[in-house]
Amino acid sequence: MSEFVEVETIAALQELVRHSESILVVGNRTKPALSSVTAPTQLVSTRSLSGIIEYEPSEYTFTALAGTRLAEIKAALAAKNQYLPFDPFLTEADATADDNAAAGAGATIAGTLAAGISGPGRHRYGGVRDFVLGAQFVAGDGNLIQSGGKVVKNAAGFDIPKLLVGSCGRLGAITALTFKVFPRPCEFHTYRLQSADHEDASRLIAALARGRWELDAIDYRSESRSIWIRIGAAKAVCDAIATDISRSLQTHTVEPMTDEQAVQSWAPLMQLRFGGSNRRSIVKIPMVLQQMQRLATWCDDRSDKVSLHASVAGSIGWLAVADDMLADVDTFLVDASMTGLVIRSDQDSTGRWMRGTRRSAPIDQKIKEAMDPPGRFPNLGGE
Amino acid sequence: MPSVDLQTLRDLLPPGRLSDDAASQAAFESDGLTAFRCRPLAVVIPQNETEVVQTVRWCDQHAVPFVARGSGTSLSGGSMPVAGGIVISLNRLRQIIKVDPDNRIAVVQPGVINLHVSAAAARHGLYYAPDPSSQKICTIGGNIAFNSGGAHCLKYGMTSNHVIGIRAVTASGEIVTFGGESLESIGPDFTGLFCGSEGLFGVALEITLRLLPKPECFHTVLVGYRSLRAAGDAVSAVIDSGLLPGAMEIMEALAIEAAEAATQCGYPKGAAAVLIVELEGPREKIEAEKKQLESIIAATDAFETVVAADDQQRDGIWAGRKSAFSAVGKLSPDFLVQDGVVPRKRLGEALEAIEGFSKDSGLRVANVFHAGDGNLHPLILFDDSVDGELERAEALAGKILDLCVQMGGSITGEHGVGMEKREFLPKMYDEPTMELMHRLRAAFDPQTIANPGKMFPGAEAPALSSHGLHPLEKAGVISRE
Ligand SMILES: Cc1cc2nc3c(=O)[nH]c(=O)nc-3n(C[C@H](O)[C@H](O)[C@H](O)COP(=O)(O)OP(=O)(O)OC[C@H]3O[C@@H](n4cnc5c(N)ncnc54)[C@H](O)[C@@H]3O)c2cc1C
Repeated sequence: MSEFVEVETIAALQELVRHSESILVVGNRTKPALSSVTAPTQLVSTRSLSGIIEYEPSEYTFTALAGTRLAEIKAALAAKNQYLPFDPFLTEADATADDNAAAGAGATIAGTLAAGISGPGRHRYGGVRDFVLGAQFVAGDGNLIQSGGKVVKNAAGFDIPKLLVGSCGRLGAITALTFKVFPRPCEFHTYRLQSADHEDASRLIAALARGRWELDAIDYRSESRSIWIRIGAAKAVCDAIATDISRSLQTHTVEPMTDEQAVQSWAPLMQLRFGGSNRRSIVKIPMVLQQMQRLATWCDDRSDKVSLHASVAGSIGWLAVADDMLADVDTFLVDASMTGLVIRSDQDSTGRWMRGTRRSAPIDQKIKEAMDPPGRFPNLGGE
Repeated sequence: MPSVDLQTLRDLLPPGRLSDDAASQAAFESDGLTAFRCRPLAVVIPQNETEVVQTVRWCDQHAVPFVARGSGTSLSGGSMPVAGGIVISLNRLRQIIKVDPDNRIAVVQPGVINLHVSAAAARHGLYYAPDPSSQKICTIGGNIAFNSGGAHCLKYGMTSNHVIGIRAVTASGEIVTFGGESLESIGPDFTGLFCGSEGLFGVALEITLRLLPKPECFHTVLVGYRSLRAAGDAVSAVIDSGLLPGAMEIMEALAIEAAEAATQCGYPKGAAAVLIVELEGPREKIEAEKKQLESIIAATDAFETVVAADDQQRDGIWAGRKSAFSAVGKLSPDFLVQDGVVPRKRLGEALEAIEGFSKDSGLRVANVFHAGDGNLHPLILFDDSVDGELERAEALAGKILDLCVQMGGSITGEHGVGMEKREFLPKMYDEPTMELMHRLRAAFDPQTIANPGKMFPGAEAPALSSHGLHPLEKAGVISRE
């Protein structure tokens, strides 16, 4: 893989974009598979373009430079009792990430948006796409673009910030982002619900998500068949809601987790390390409940090599996979007409981050050309 | 415009789909912004997706402009026809293809009325959150094109936050599928880009919407203040408290007076401003939050506080608010409404400036606004029969938009740029950004045939005429915010 350079200023980034044949911007590379490319490409890190430029708690908005670490943002928001409700992953430094120069630095805000990564909290208020308001970025022609706005409501012009969500550095080099934030509930409490099997789990998740309770997160660990419910409110309120859920479900009982149990449950997911040492690669798989059942069943037969954590009421599958299983995952996804994105892989030199059924519509290429007329950034296809 | 042979289009479609008589042309000549009028060459009313695609491809082959149209309630001239162009009216594509309660989604055709989605979802305890005041009549296709909002945007976001998949035909005739039935997808968020494209990319054919569980309880409070500033301070206090209300709305004296006359809504007498705050959620949470809200409001300069005791009282409070615009409209032969956004903390400053503009121009302005997100809705009253008043009203509206841009806000929070505000878009975005938007449009529409003359400045403006109520407002079917 090529060496990567760091830029200290936006002007320097513009110069690089203008003068490189092929260039890809990365953050801290917490999701290294997304920036692995086979063609000779200049890798540029925006992690030195770091810092919160504006934060207006009364407006529910902040603007931060691309390389600002999520940890810094989270802390600044928490000081004002606010948060990013979509729960971005890889916030904390990770001591086990010893295989990279930037190891342990934690994800950046631009890397999170460009990778399109939202955590369990996406269930309640929406994902990274729903909270981004504005994006400043360098287009393929080297021009600095100021898209979207800085206020919580704006319907003027095309919504380019959303287009950058999930673009994995292929449509523009992000320099700064504006986000909407929300007041943070005073406390969060987690409860566990044991299902009998994946079908039962599916039914329970549907009932929970449709109920009156406004749950903050509904996740499913398929290995243990347990459903985790997170509620954001004072303990007494959460307990009352949990009791009512048990009453309403009749057949199942919601058990509270202690704070310590809750941390132990969520932390490996938030670090995308829940697969343990033998299942280190991570694939993101968008799905619906029926697909969750099918994927979970497939995983049961290969439990030493794959583990599924279904997040956001069955909308996102996080698959922890042994590297030698990635090809099988691909086959499964193609058979099921599903798609996956390799977020992390120890074998990331293949550069094949799009898995399963591939999208290739002429419009995608036309949009890419509009964003990047000279073709400086790698292809959207992910190879 | 070179002459085109409409017969070839007529031949493509089953009989009766295309009309080019004067009566049909006139029926579609304007939208909710009645100031602009333009007669189309013909109107096509397709019955299904294939006919829409055939029409768009015919337009592409013959380089004939077209305008997709839902219910024509656009307030910015967005669905006004283009001279020499075809109007593709989508009202017959009104099938709710499916409601999937387990995954909480609905798949609908573009002509489905906004409120019908919630009606179809209701038996599963679900609803479709975006609630523009025109929701009884406006279509999902129009909502998508304008990324429409409503009173509940602060908590729930705009239309694009509730759209997870779109199938569309681009202006060059390509059928594209963005997103799908999962909340998440892989690769760039093309669905998000399509939302808010104001009909410039093509025609949405099938849309997948996210549904939410219906809030169990509402707690609606109406508070009277002696000054607008005091009402504004109360909003800040609520925001600072960490509560996240579903809606926070302010109306000022002129709007209160008009609403009172129209609906006898019983708003506090003599109030310079009223604030509506609505909490919503499960009863356990609302029980706790309403106490918190009560003490926040008690600490403000309120002179009267009304808490809705039941649904009927809640409806009464909202009736006043929802009627405000048409009620104010009745105070004056004509009016113009803007929907610019300012940073919330600068609301007071913005309203003072608007008052100044109003005095300078000699025209009255009534203010109603989504206070939680700084979305103004100044209503400029004028009389078109008085020489020069329309021009003065337009100039005043322009000053307000400039003010919003200067304050770091936006020229539109929910009504879109359309025809009306296109000259202001470059004030928000610099040249490279505008150029990029043109390139994106060209990716979908290389010939510039989809809704040309909207959103981007430069095209010749059609004749202005009066700015009265939308015909449906006059009939009392809908009201605006
Ligand atoms: C009384 C009143 C109250 C209102 N209140 C609100 C409010 O609270 N919030 C708010 O945001 N707006 C409001 N509006 C504005 C308006 O109702 C919205 O913009 C609405 O989304 C327009 O829907 P429509 O079906 O009438 O679309 P139209 O006016 O027919 O079209 C609007 C735009 O959408 C395009 N379009 C339509 N269908 C499609 C399609 N299938 N594919 C691609 N493009 C398409 C058109 O070309 C046009 O550019 C109000 C309007 C009125 C008259």
